[in-house]
Amino acid sequence: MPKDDLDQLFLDAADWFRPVQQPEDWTKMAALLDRRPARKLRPVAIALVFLALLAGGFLLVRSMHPTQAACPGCSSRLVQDHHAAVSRAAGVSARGKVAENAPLANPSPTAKSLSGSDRSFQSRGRVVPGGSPRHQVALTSSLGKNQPLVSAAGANAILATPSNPGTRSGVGLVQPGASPAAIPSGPMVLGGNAPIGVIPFNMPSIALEVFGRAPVSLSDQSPPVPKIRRPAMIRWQADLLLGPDLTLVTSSLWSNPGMDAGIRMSYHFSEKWQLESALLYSSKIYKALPSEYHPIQPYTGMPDLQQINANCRVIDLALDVRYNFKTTLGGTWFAEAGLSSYWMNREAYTFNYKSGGYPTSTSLAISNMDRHPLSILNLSAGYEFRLSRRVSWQVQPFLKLPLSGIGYGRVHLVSTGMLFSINYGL
Amino acid sequence: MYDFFYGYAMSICLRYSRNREDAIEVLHDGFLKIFKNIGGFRIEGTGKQVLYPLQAWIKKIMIYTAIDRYRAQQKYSGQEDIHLHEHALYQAAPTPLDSMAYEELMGLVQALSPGYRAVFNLYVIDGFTHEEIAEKLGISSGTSKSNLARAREVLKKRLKKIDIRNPLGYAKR
Repeated sequence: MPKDDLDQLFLDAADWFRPVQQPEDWTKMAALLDRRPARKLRPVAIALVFLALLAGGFLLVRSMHPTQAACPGCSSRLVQDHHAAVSRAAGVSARGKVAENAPLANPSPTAKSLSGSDRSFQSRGRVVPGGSPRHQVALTSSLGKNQPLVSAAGANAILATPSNPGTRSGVGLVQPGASPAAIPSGPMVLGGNAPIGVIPFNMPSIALEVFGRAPVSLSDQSPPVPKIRRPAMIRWQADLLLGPDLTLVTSSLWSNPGMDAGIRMSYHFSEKWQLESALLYSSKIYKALPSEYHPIQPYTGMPDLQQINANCRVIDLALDVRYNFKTTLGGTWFAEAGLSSYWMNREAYTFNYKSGGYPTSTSLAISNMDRHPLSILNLSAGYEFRLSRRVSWQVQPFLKLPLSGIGYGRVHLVSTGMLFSINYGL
Repeated sequence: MYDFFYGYAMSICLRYSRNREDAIEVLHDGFLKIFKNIGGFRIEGTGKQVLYPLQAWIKKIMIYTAIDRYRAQQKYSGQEDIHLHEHALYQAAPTPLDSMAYEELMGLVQALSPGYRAVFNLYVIDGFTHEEIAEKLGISSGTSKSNLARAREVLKKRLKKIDIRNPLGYAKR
C-alpha cells in the first residue's frame, strides 16, 4: 500500500471516528470541576503547623521546667498563694501578727506572708532542714535602722541591709561557705509595707522557720552549699524550620506564597558568631513575563506568549554566618548572611499564549534538570526567643537574591518570607 | 458543551493515547483548560461562523494537552514499555478487515509506541510539519521523519497481517 493511501486511510478514519460518550465520563468531569484548588488550603495548613510547632515547644519547655512554665511570673511577684502554701508544707512557719492590710499581690488565708503596718511585729529566722525545692516566702518589714534583714536560699542567702538608715532597700548576697562572722546576727524586726526580699529554697533540705523575737542564726546551721558553676556554652544546635515563601520575578505579577520546610544545624563559635547550614525544601510559585524568561532551549511553538506560570519544588542548601548583635534576658537579636545552592527538584511551567487570537496554554514539567551551586545570596535578620537553656524558637524574615538565572527559564528569582523555627541545643 | 464536543474531542484524545483511560484524562484536562479560558474566546456570528473556530480551538487544546502528557510520560516510560506495548498489539489484533471500523483503525494507531504515535498523528492526521513536530516534542526533525517512516511500516505490517486473513482487503471496505 503506498504511503499516501495509508495516510488517507487513517485520515478518513480519524475524521469519521466519533466515540460514544459513557455516562461515567461526565461524572468524572463534574468531579474535577467541583474540586477546589488545593492551594486555597495552604495558608490554613501553614497556620495549623505553626500553631502545632508553638504548642509543641511550649509543652516541651513545660515538661522540662514545670514550675517556671506553669508560673512564668514567679520571679517577679513576691508572694503567690501556692508559694505560701508550699512553703508552709515545707516547714516554713510564721508566728506573729499577720497584718490585715498586707500589701501583697495576692493575699489569702493560706499565705503566711509576713507583714505588718504596726512596728510591733518582730521576727527572726533560722534555716532548718526539711524544706522543699523552689519555695519562696516574701517578707515585708519595717526594719530597725541598723538591723540587717536576712532571708535564706539553698544555694545563697540573700542579705538585705538598709543602705540608708531608715529605709529598707539594701540587698546583699552572702556567698556560700561564708564564715559565720560574715553573716550578721541579732534580732530582725519585720513589719511595715515594703517588700524586701524573696527567699527561694533551692535545696531540698533547707527551709526557713521564722519565730517572733528570736535571734537570727543562719551560719551555724546552714548545710554545705555546692559551688555555682557557669554552664558551658552549647556549641551545636538543631533547628526545625517552617514558613511561607513568596517568590517574585516581576513586581507586578504576584502569586500565592509557597512554603519552606527543613532542618538546620548550627555551630556556635562564640557567643556572637555562629555557622549555620540549612536544608530546605521550598515551593517557589511565581509568574513571569516572556521578557524575563530566557530558557537555554527555547520552548517554541507559542507565537504570542503572554505569561509563564511556574510551580517549582526546590531543594535549598544554605550556608550562612550569623551574628548575634544583642542578647537580652528573653532572647537574641541576630542577623545573618550566606549563600544558597538550589537543586531544582521539579519544575512545572504553564505557558499562556494566544494561538490564532485565542488564549490557550501548554505546560512543561521537568525533573532534576537544573542545579545552581552557590547562586543565591541569603540575607536575614530576626529574633530568637529563649524558652530554656536549650530550647528556643525564632522568627526570621529573609530575602534571597539571585546571583544568576534560576531554573529552566533562567529567571531572576527573588524570594522573601518568614521562617519560623524551633531550636534545640545539643 | 461537553456533550456536544465530546465525540470530536475524544476522537483526538484517543488517537494520542494508549487506551481509553488515558484518553479520558487528556480529554478532561483539555476541557478544564477550555472552561477556564472560554471567557477569552470572542467570535461574533452564528452557526458555523462560531462552530468552526470553536472546534478548531478545541482541537488545538486537545492536541497540545495530549502532547503535554506525552512529554510528561516520556520521563517515566522506557523503551521496554514501548516494545511490550507493540507486542501486545499483535496479540490483540485478530479482527477481520472487512468488519474493521474506524475505531479499530484508530486502535492500530493507539497501539503504536508513544513516539511513533505522536509523530504519526501530528504529521498525517493533524497536518503539522516535521519542524513543528520537532519543536513540540523536543526532538530533532530527523527523528520526527524517522519515527514517521517507522510508524508507517508498523501500520502497513499490521494491515497486511489482517489482510492475509481477509483477502478482500481493507480498501474494499
